[in-house]
Amino acid sequence: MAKKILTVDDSASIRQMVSFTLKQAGYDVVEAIDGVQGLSKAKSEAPHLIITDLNMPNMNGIEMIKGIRQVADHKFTPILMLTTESDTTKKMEGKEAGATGWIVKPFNPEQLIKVIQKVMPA
Amino acid sequence: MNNEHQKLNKEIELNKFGLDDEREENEKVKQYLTFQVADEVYGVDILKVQEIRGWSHATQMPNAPEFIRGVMNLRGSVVPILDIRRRFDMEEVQFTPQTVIIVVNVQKRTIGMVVDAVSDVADISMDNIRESPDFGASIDSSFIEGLSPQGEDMVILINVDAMMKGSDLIKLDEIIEEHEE
Amino acid sequence: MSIDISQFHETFLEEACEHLRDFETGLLDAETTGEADLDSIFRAAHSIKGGAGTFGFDEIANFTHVVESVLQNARDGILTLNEKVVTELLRSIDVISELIQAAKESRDPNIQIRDEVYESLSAFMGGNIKSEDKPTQENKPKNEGFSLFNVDFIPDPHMAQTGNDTLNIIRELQEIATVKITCRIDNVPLLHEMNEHEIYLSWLLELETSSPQELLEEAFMFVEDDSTITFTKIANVDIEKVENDLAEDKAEKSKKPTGVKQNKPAHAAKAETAFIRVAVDKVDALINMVGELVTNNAMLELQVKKSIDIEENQKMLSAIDHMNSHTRNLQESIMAIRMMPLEFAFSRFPRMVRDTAQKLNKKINFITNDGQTELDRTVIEKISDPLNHLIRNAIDHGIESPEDRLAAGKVEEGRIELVAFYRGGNVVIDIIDDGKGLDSEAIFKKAVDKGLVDANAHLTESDIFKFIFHNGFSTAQAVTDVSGRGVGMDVVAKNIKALNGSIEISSEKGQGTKFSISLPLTLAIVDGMATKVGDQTYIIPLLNIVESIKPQKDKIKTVNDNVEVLFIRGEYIPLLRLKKSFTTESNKGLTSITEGIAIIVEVESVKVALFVDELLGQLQVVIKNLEDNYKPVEGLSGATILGDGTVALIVDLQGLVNMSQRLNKFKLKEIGKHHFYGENHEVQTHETESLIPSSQQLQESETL
Repeated sequence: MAKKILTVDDSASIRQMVSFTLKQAGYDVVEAIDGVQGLSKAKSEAPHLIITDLNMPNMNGIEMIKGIRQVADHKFTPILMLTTESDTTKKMEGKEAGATGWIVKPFNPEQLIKVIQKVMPA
Repeated sequence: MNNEHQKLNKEIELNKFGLDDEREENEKVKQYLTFQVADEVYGVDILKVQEIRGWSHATQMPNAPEFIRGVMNLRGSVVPILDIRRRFDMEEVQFTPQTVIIVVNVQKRTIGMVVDAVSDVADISMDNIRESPDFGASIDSSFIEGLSPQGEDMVILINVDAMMKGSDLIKLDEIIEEHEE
Repeated sequence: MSIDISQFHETFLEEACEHLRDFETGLLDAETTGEADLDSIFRAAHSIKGGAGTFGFDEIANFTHVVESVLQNARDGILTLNEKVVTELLRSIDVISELIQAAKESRDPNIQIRDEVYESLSAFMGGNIKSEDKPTQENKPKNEGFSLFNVDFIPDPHMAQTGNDTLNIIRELQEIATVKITCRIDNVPLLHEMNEHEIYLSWLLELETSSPQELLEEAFMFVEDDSTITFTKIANVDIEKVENDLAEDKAEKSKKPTGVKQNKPAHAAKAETAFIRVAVDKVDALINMVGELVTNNAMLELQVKKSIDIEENQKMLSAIDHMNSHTRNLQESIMAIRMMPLEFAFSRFPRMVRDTAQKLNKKINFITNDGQTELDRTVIEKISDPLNHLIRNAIDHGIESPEDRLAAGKVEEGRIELVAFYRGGNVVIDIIDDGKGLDSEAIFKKAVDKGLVDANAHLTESDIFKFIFHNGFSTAQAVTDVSGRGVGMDVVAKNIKALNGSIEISSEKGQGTKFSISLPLTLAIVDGMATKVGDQTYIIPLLNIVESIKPQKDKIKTVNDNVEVLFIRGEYIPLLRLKKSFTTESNKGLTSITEGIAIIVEVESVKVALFVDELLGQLQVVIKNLEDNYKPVEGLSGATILGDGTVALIVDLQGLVNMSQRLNKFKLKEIGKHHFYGENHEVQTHETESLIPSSQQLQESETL
């Protein structure tokens, strides 16, 4: 069965690209548009991996990651955050909140898949 | 629509289809749909023709000049119908089963022209077109692109663009306004 | 895997425009309220930058980076958002907007303003802009030959809780190296002291690889900060201990205040909707097709009912009924696609108000409330300019200078409200200011000077205000850069009328002015009453119909020889015969008044009776433009296609009334407005010069 990935981003274009790329690579994809929806879909959809933006309305990525780590099923689920190289502090904050790793923006589809395989081998 | 119209419509499509290539090879031949009004043969650039169809009831437009027969439903568009006989001040006739509407596309507008009958699709060489003489007051000569002998007949080539844009639609507007006043 | 990311460009560019709007709104809010939602402003800029980088719009990414840096400083409290900064940031919106537009049109952007704004923004940063670190995966030194490494890996005890897994790391290393694994268990505690979530094992990995060290280190990139990783290179020649300095200096990682606050839930409702983008002509094509479907359906129903035995074919008829209702639902749903939130039109005004007010040295508190109303796309597009004009006028002529306001005992800051709400089948947009109001005396005087009205006429205030919609009518003392050239208000009125809308003015001198615009929800569909006049079918908009009556002969009077009036319940209503108003070639239709029907309609508070042969029934019709292929016709708002495929004409009541007034050279309104209290009572007289018949005249005409 294909692994399911939840992608959380308030930007439709990024979401579309991530989604498209993942589907091409054979993953099932669930989308969420902000932290609140992300958290609720993390619970309801039981994804195997989560990719999230950090700057989002309603609930930002850091808060969401903290929330997801509270969910028993997601204690060890890989969570990747999308971040810019200059966000060193963000990276640290994300790690503290429980993020597994990061994908540096700007990124291309190949890089995305590579990082996913790193934390969730096929 | 009767069979003959269908056949002609198909021919129009086919002719339009192959035309681009042909034009590149031979700039000098244009195709015209020829039609009859009274005893005269007219021609209209086939690229302007959308289709031909039989006459059916048109809804009259209030306060319109008399050469506007009204409007018709053409696949969801409301299209005005122009009576060529009335436009050229010719004698009126009863509409017969041969009476035909030629639907033309001009300046993004779609307009129907009522003519007595359609004849054929004719190849007309540009070299063979004579300038039209001044017809005086009866017909605005700007409607006429030129004259071309076809066998025994003389085909009067109508410039639909000029008819609608250059003079006619503006004139049409003026006439309608006069009517209103 | 190869994916063409250009397929997402359009989405990104559209989205960037939305972010820009949020950015602008945020900045203007910040300026007016003094409280900036810096997070959302920052997020907007950040998202544009991120997307631009990802989708390869480097120009946009680079420029937005500076904007983001300025905002970052503001967020960190290093930079104050004063007027100068806000102005530059607003200009930066124009620049980004231009860059986006240029990208959309695949042309070179105008770089002059960009460079200017870039300079000023850099100046705010003291010229100190951290350049974006680009990931440097390319140009990696290629390691020749073979190397041996010893890696000492002591995972952070909490590593598993970040979703990292030693196994994954080892697996990744195995892809590029031969790995000999030694597990160390020295730190494993006694079972009862163990925490199931912590990691106690550490590892010694011996790697034999042709890959460079950087690639090996990459396997640890997510854990290198917390865990202890020591690379030891055992080269062929000498043994060189390589200190792992991947972690960079720890000092940089000491926690700075990050300034991440809980975001306001203000955008919660907005964010819930997902969108897809569809080209307008596709929607219009759908609307056309579904209109055809409705027509065909009706034709089918008609034919079936004509040709079958109704009793015997109940099932077929009910199937047709179902199909009809589905088709209508389909039509409604498709029409709804064209609806857009009015917010789209409103969002451009705060900026305009700010700039205009600044130019005129006025202080204005601009309040908008779109009431979550939606209008047809074309209506939205066409209402923007009139609104823009009215708001400019309110700033320029309505709101007084701060000094004048203080002198008049008002608060220094003027107030302009732009409010929308649903009322009946319409959306009403109010533009309210608390400025000096309209001077009805001055307007009246000017109207007299211009010969628009007799000096002795007695008009109501609201009638007087309407003069400002006359061409060339401007009461502004000085022609300013902003408004007051006397063009515009007539255009405003004309545009609104073209949308089948209406505009009302109320104003109190010294207190302010209110313009109230009423617009139909959609231009494309109208509920109508089909009526027959001779061989023609006319559709009368249902909204305007008050009632229909069979007129009696003795209730019809003639005034001034040419105007018929219908007497109904103490009111004289002008009667228009559609056959006369709309002359056609066949000119068929009833003449005898008692055989036909009078439909009483109300247009802008004037009642008129329309005389037709018969009523055919109510129906909803899709309006087709006459000017698409023909030209606009006075008295008609368009045409529609009936169930039998023929064309029916839709009456524009306002136009019809105007036309009749002009043709008959009298004011229907004057007749329509006045009431007569029975034939034996005295007629309410009015001193204005109107063509109201006296009771005597009326009696005379009765005897005719």
